[in-house]
Amino acid sequence: MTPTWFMAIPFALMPLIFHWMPVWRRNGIWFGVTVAQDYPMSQVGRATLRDFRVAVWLLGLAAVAIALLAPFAAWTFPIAMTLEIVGMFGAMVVARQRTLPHAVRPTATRSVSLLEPPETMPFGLAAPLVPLAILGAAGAYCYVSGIWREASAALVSGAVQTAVMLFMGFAILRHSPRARVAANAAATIQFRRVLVEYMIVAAWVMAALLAAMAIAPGLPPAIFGLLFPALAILYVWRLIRLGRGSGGGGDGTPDECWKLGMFYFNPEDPAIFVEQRFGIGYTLNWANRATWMFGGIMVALTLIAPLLMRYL
Amino acid sequence: MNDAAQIRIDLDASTPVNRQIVDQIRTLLVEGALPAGADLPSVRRLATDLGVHFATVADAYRTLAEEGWLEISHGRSARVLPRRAPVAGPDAGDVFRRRLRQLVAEARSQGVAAKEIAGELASLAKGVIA
Repeated sequence: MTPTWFMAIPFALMPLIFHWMPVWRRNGIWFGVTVAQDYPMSQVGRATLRDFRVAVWLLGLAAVAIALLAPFAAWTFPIAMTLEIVGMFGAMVVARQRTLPHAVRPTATRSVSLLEPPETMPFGLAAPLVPLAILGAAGAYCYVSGIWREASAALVSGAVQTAVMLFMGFAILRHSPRARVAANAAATIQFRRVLVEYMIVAAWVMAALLAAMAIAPGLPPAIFGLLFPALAILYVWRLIRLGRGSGGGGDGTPDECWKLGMFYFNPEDPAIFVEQRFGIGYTLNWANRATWMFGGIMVALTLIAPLLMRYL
Repeated sequence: MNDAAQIRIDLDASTPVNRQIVDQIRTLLVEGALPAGADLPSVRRLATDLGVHFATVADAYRTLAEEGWLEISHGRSARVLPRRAPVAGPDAGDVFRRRLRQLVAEARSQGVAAKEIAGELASLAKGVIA
C-alpha cells in the first residue's frame, strides 16, 4: 500500500461514519429535530436519510479522488479534508432544514426524583488511582533506569491527557441533567454513566500505552490505532442501544436553542453539558458562562503539558 | 428512579415554575414521602435536572425554608427538618374551604367527573385521618 493510499483511508472512513450517524440517536429525534416517534420510518423521513447518505458518499468519493492527486500537488489534502468536513456538515444542515417542518412540540413536562442518591464516578477512587499508579510506576522505572529524559515526554503527556479525560467525565456527571423527561429517565441515566465509564477506561488505556511507550520506545504507534477504535466500537454499540431504548418526548432541550442542529445555546439552561442531537456523547451549552470557564480550564490543562515537558 | 419522591413540573403551565416546585415538594413533605433528615438535591443539581434557572429553585427552597420545612446551607443540599404541625389560625378553616371549592369548581369546569372528584377527596381524607 502506498503512503498516498494509506492517507486516503480517513477520507473513505468519514462517509461510513456519517452514513450511520443519523440513526445513532434517541427515539423521537431525527437530524437534530424533535419529531414523532414513527416519523423516521415515514416516506419523508426515509427520503431525507437517503438523500443525506447519497450526498455524504458523493462527497467522500470526491475527497478520496482529490486526496489521491497528492503526488502531483501538495495542496490536495487540505482541500479534500475541507470539502469532506464542510460538505458533510452542510448535508446535515440541509437534512435538518427538511425535517424542521415536521417537528413536534417537545414535552414541556420535567420530572425529577428528589431522593436519588448522589452520583459518584464509575469505578470510584480507582478512576484516578489506576492511571496514577501506572504512570507513577513507569516514571519510577524510567528514573531508576536513567531513561527519564527520553521518557518524560510520553509520561507527562499521558498524565495531562488522563487528567483532562477524567476531569471531563467528572464535569459531565456534575453539570449535565440526569433525566428531564420521564419517558427517557432510566435510559438517560444509564447512557451518561456508560459514557463516563468509557472515558475512564479510555484514560486508563491511554495511560497504560503511554507508560509502555516510555519504557519501550520501539512500540509501534499502530497499537493506538487498533486499541482505541476497538474500545470505541464496544462502547458506541452500548450507547447506541441505550439511545434506542429511550421513549419519545425529546431530550428536555428546546429545538429552537439548537443552532444548525449542532450548537446548543440556551441562556435559561444551567447545564454546561447536554446530550448531542447528532452523533453520540455530550456537547456544551455555549450560552452558559460556566461553559467558558470550563473551556478555560481545559485549555490551561492542555497548555501545562508542553511547559511540564520543558522543565521536567 | 424513586417515584414516590418525584416532582413533575410543566414549563407551559400558567402557574409559575417556582410555585409548582414549592407546591409539589410541600405535598411530598406533608404526605411523608420526604422524611425529616432527608437531603434534597442542591439548588444547582435540581436546576440542572429541571432545566430551569438557579434562581427559580433557590426561590422555591427559600419559601419552604421560611415555612419551616427545610434547612438550607450555602452550597449544600437542602435538608428536611422535623416539623411540628402548626396551630391553625382563626381563618385557616375558611381559607381552606374557599380554596377547595375553587379547586373543585376548576376541575369540574375542565370536565372532571363529580364522582372522580368525590373519590379523590375521600381517598385524601382517609390519608389525612390515618
